[in-house]
Amino acid sequence: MNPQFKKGVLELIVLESVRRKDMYGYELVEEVSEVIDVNEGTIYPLLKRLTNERYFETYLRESSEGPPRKYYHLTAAGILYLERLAAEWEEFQARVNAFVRGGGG
Amino acid sequence: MSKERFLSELREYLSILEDQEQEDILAEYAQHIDMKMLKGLSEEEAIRDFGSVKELAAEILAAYHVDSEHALAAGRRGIWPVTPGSGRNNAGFGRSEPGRHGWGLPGPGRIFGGVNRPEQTGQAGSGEREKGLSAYGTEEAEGDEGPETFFGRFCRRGKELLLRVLRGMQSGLCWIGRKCRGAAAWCVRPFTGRGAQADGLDVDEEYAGLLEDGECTGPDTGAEDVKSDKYVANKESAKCEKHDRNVTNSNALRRKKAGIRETKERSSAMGEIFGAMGRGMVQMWQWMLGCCIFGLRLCWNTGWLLFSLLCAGIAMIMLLGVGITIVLLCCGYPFTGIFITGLGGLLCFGALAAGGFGMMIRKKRENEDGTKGKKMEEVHYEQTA
Repeated sequence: MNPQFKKGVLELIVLESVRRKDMYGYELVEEVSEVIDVNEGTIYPLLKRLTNERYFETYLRESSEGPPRKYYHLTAAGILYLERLAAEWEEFQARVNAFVRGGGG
Repeated sequence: MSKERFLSELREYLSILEDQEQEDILAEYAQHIDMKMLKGLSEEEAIRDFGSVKELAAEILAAYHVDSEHALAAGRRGIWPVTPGSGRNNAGFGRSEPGRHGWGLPGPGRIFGGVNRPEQTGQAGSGEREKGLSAYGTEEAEGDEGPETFFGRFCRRGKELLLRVLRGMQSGLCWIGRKCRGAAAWCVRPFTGRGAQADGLDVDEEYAGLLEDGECTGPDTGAEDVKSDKYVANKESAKCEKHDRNVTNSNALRRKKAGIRETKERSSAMGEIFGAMGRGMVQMWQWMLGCCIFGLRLCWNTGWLLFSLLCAGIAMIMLLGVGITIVLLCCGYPFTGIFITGLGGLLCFGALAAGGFGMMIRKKRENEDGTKGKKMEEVHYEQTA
């Protein structure tokens, strides 16, 4: 798959995953990897940026195995951002689909 | 590659970022590797999935809106040509408002921390990483001047701004000082002003007594007393001579004279006592009146002062709230309603506070007019007297 495609939707997938359930880094990486095949290393910078932009809040929670884990939680601003992003994605893919199918068939 | 080596290498590439940010990122990667190893992968395999460390570092720096190639090269010198946005290699999905991302801006603001410690980053970079980054050698050579001047310009602007702010603060403090001195003088005025008023009215009372009695009873008008005595005596004698020219009884005349003088003396003594008593009473009355007026004014002003301070305090809290709401609004929270309400409250309480202060000032002006009027009366009195 074209890596540029992946990069574009990665943010949307990450936001949507965290909206469903608060997750810690590794859990999120696994979740996203199920949807699209992506380099695991690239998800952390994205998480960092979204946290710095106040779309995510983080908190620590103890785990039965290993050190406490940093969980990500979607903020109100994050929800708004996700909604906008999802709407844009819908429109974008509808247009692209319409063009590609219209041109092909 | 071992976990330690991976982490230390990554740290070097990220040395441009703030220490706290580096720690956060490295902790995440360390945890990720640990989790993978728990799942049964070897250390080597877990790290291999990340790909090249340099590319990974470039991705991370891109998340901070740092132009990764320049930043990686600049890491050696501690210089950071920041080009916001250009480092983000996004395909453009959902990125229609690049300006919006400036608000939670992690990038330039924090990266400034890296500039404050150029030696540190320089040391970190000049070590092992030299060989890895030799490809950027040419860029280093020509890039030296640009960032220098940029840094210098930044410093100069900062200094100018700081100076301007300091100057503003100085003039503000001077103004506050003047106002404070004025307020202190005004607070003290009732004490000093009352004495002057009382003195003036004492004089008034004496004059009033003079006019009412028609006779001089004051101790300081003794000379006039004697004069008037003589005058009266002369008049009496003249009357007597006129009435009875034939009988010129000097004894009677003398007795009369003595009697008149006696009554005069007695009355002047009585007058003195009454005068003193009257003066005392007047002074006391004056003092009480002064106290009453002062107390009333104090109550009035204190009331308004408290009221306006309360309003000002609430307005300050509102201001704080509005400020917070602005920040949250900018972060995208839907707080427009709260913001407008806060703004309205701020204006309302600000106006109330100003009104309270206004009431205080009006009272002061009234008082000034009053004292002026009294002084005018005094002058008029003196003229007529």
